[in-house]
Amino acid sequence: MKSKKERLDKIKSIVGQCDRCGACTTVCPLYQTDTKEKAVARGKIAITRAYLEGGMDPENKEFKHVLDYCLLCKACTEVCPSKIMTDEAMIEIRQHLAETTGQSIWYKMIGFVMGNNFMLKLSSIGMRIARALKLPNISGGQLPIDNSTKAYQKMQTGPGILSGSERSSAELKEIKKVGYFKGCAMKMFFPSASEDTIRLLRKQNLEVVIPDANCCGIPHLAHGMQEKAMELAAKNIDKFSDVELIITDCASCGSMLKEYTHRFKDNPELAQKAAAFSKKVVGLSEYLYQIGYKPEKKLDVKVSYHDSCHLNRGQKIKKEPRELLKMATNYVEIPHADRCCGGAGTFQYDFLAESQKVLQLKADSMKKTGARILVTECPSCMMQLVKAEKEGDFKVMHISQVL
Amino acid sequence: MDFKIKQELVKIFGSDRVFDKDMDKFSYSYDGSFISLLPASKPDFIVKAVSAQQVSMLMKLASEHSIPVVPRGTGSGRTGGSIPVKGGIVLCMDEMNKILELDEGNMIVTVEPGVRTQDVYDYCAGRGLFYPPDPSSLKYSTIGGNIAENAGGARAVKYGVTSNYVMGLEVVLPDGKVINTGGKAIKNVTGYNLTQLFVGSEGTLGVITKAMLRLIAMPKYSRTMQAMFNSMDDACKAVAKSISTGTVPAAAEIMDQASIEAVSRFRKMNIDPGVKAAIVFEVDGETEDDVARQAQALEKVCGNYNSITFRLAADQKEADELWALRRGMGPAVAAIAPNKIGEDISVPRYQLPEVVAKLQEIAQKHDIKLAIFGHAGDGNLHPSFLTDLSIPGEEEKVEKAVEETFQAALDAGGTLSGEHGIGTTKKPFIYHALGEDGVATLKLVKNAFDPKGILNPGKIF
Repeated sequence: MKSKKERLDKIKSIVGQCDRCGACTTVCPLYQTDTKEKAVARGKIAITRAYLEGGMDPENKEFKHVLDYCLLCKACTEVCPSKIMTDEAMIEIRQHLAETTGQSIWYKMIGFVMGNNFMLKLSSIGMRIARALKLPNISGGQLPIDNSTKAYQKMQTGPGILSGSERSSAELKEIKKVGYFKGCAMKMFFPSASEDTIRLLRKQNLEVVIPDANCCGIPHLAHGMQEKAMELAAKNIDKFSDVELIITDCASCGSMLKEYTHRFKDNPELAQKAAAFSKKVVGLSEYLYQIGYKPEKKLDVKVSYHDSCHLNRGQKIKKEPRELLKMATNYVEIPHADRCCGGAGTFQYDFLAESQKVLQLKADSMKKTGARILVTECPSCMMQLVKAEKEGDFKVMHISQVL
Repeated sequence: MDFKIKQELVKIFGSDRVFDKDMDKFSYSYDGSFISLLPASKPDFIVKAVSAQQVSMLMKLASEHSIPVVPRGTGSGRTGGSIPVKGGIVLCMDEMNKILELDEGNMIVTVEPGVRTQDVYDYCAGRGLFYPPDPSSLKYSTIGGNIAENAGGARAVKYGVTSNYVMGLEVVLPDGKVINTGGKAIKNVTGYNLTQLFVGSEGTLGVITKAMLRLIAMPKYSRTMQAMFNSMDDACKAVAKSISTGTVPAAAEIMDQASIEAVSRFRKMNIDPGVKAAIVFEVDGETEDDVARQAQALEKVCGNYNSITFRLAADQKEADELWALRRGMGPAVAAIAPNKIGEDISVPRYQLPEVVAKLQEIAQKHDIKLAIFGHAGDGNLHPSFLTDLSIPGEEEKVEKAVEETFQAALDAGGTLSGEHGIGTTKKPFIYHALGEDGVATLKLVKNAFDPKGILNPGKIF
């Protein structure tokens, strides 16, 4: 773990580069719906800088609230002429504040549940019961709808175009034993999509092992619980040591798992192991695209794709899911496909009204396409997007359910 | 008192358009200038206007209670123009962002002040019309701010600056009256030219609530070139020579070695260390032959001034690549050191080489890192002193260097600001540039419009 001074120096080096030009005001999804300066990256950077210079009271609730009010979507970094990593600055300042002024009970609770596989299992069972009792409808959509592949196939309108599956001789194809990283959100909220991923992988003649993965650590990292995040990461590094490849169908997990290298680089014991682990991680569509996967069928259903921030800006995976979807569906691009949906992990619960406004932008874009299915490769996005299903008259599906 | 004012503001704007939380106040205490964040010049309230009527009601209220009002676009200004140095109310115009009318026959677009300049450009370009002013902030700055600061840009060498395109304005005066100036007629000598008085007035005379902008036909062809030189002197001379011999580029952006290094570090470009200066040129015209002729002429002139390389972009992709050297220059240079003190001097074009030499001498004398880039075609330079102000003694050194920079500009017959305005950062130097009587005249104008001194107080003089 970093010392207090090291952390502050790191934050200072990031926020010190901001020229306050305002380029981020054109893309920040929060600023599109809540045009207050404190909502945009420039505002948060300035507030952080003022804190470092002694001009902010760390006990001020409003101050902490503003720093939590960030989707960590990296859209600002993309347009920033200096490529300032606001998300990294927010992660570090949250950590610093948690260490110096204490952590909120809400995040402590999330951290506890997600950091503990027994608690996670208990929660999944609870959700399964709720789903069986059709509670999602009662809870006003807070428990996401787990759409099935069958529901997707029912939407087929035209004749199915059958195409044989043709494989490339990619290097990845040599690999026979892969580990499926079953992330918490897939486990808890989208078990049937998770099953589809496993089925899809097994069809590729792979031996798919499913170690009892721990949470990847991203919720802990984002909310000032870095020590716990590192502890979980170390467990995962150990659990996946004997597979040749680690495949994940969760954008956030993928992004975090690939970052283990960077997060452990100053840890003499684990640096090498973490680097070896991260090197083995691939996203589902990234993998399928690279091995030259060809879907068995092409269904005539109009489908759009939503870029998860952690897949697109986090891992630069943009082309792969689109190319796969073009082979399997009647694909249409959604305007501003790469704008954050407003889900962002716990953000959708922490800032419900604000996240709904950001979601509305996505629903409006979706209406313009006339597509009936919105596909993504991120369960966290799915949890958010399903809330717009009814209003936008579309269904949200994981990419594994459509391929 | 504050509570009553807030009630009145809520009546005018609605409760969701009036903010006064502590973090809001702080986050409207700065702009895109290099002024320290602390101590923060916090406003008492921030309001978001959606109509001229609201602005008028606000000004009446402010006038009655003598409360300062500071208009603001997106806060991208470089001289502190939208910082509420005397507290009061920050009036955000960024949500008055509609394009109201495009009169294609008369080639005039009418817009609200909060439209981003890029959006004005795109909207007109989509219909074959051209709004030329292009400050490098055009993607995020607003047209209202551009008018209030009389923004320039790269194309100024051929097409002029914002003021050359403002035909008429709707303005709310400090007492709340709403007036219209100018209009669509090209010839207009009916009373004083108030339109141009408001252009560049930095929000101190009135609040712009609507603008009529002149458009021209979009040039059909353009070409981009990049020339490298082994001295700034040669690069400057090449630009001046090309213009005086009849080839006026649509842009001639110059940068020195320090600036080139800053950008290439960011964009991972490989630039020969022998390169001491670079120019990105753009030419445009009606026919392919015309632009080809201009490109040839530039190549010849650059050759005469010992250019090391001269690249003509074959396609848009290559053009973007050549432009990449110039785009994002300000922030890329800023990232070199903890503090960037970026200036905006403007000198007669032909004096450019001597001023550049003088600036380099100043930097050397005070031992401060300096990066120079700017618009060589019109003599507008952005010398940036790069330093760490937390080191004791640095601030005094930089202050001296900046003072000498302004002196160098004035000595060459130039001025303090080409396109950023005076704001608060250059206030101390304005007497030097305009003289006692000159400044007194500005004050007479200010007093005539705003006798209570409530509109953007503490700026310019």
